[in-house]
Amino acid sequence: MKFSSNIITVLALSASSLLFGCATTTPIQTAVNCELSRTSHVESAFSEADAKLNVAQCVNQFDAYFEQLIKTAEGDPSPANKQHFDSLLAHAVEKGAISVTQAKVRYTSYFGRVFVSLPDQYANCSSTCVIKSAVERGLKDELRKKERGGRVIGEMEIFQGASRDYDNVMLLLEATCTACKADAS
Amino acid sequence: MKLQQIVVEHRKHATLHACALALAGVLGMAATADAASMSDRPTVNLFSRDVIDTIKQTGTAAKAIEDGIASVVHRLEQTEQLYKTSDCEKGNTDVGCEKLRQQLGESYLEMLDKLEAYLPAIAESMKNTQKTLAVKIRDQYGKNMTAHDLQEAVKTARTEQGATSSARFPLSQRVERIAKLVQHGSGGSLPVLAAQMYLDSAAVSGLLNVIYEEINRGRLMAELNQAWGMVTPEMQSTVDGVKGILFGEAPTSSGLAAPVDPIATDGSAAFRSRFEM
Repeated sequence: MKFSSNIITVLALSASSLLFGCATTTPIQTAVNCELSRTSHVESAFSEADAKLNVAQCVNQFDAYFEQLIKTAEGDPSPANKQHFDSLLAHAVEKGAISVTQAKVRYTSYFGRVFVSLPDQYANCSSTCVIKSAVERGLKDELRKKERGGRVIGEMEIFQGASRDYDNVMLLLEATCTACKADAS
Repeated sequence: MKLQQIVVEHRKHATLHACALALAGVLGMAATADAASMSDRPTVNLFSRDVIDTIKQTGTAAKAIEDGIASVVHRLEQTEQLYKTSDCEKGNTDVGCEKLRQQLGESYLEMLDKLEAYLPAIAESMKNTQKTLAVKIRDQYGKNMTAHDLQEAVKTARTEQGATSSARFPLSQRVERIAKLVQHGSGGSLPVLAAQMYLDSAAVSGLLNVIYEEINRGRLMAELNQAWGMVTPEMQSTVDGVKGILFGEAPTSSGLAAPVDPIATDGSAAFRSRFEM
């Protein structure tokens, strides 16, 4: 009798551990909708994006969220939009969607006068001049972003300054690369 | 009428020689101030004495051409006007028309002679400017800076319409514009001025070769063509070539930079997006 009760105990214990093991090794996944709704209300759009970034599965959608928010904000220009984007980027950094450097690059490319796409390798003759066409393309792309940024905040001063810088940088780069080539030949 | 345009352009230009001297003086001061405001990195004095001297040389040469050619072009225009009002274009063999044809041909040849006499001075000064600035630009911006640094260097530059290398301004007008920019003080950026001068001198050197060919061709055509006076397409092409080197062409913008009014002394202008179709 004692032997059979021991077996029953062992069997019961085994069964319960099996059940417990099954319960912990296979978590049930719930479907998450990471898409932002197509609202034209800027505050709501940013709140929604912030909420989505709190969801781990949605963090990798940050680029899409940023682009959509730019479009939404273009429809409702305001200097306050700068603050919204600043907060969004801070939240994205906090959630690990982007790094601090990436946040700085992203913000400046839209709202700053400085061209972040300009290479930082020393000696233009041997670096920038070799990839001049690509540099020019990068600058043009960034200038388009700055124009959008200007529309988002409802003022174009930064974009105008960046436009002047674009022309003058290209002029100086052209002269520099021509002078470098003359030296090489 | 294209010949009229040549004369009108001549009359518009300010005294280039005076501008070149003023430029030389101001550049000397501006170069010192600019050097003082640069970062800790060692900098090259872009507009040193030798560069200023070549700029003066260019101004003097351009002024000499303008002075020398102006009276001939004026005469050419007056004769052509008379030729047209007298209906000589319609093949009129009247003695008066024959005389006018001869005068036109002689004036045209005189213009070519003067060009041939004056252009070597321009060619020499352009070559010197190009060589001197190339070394300075290469040392400063090619070997000692990053692309990012270039934006810092040009930040103080005022907007220049058609500031890209493809823009071709009248030679004397460009020197005048540069003098104005420097004289207006801190609004001008010496790196941008240096870049403009360097690229312009390279472009003008290229144009000069074309002009020499056109002069030779134009002279040959005029001497072979017994019907003086008709401004043949070949002669017109030579006149256009002269206009190209002396008066430049319409500046072309980058297509991307926001267009603004040229030499806006307060930097303000109505905004228009470059992306607007």
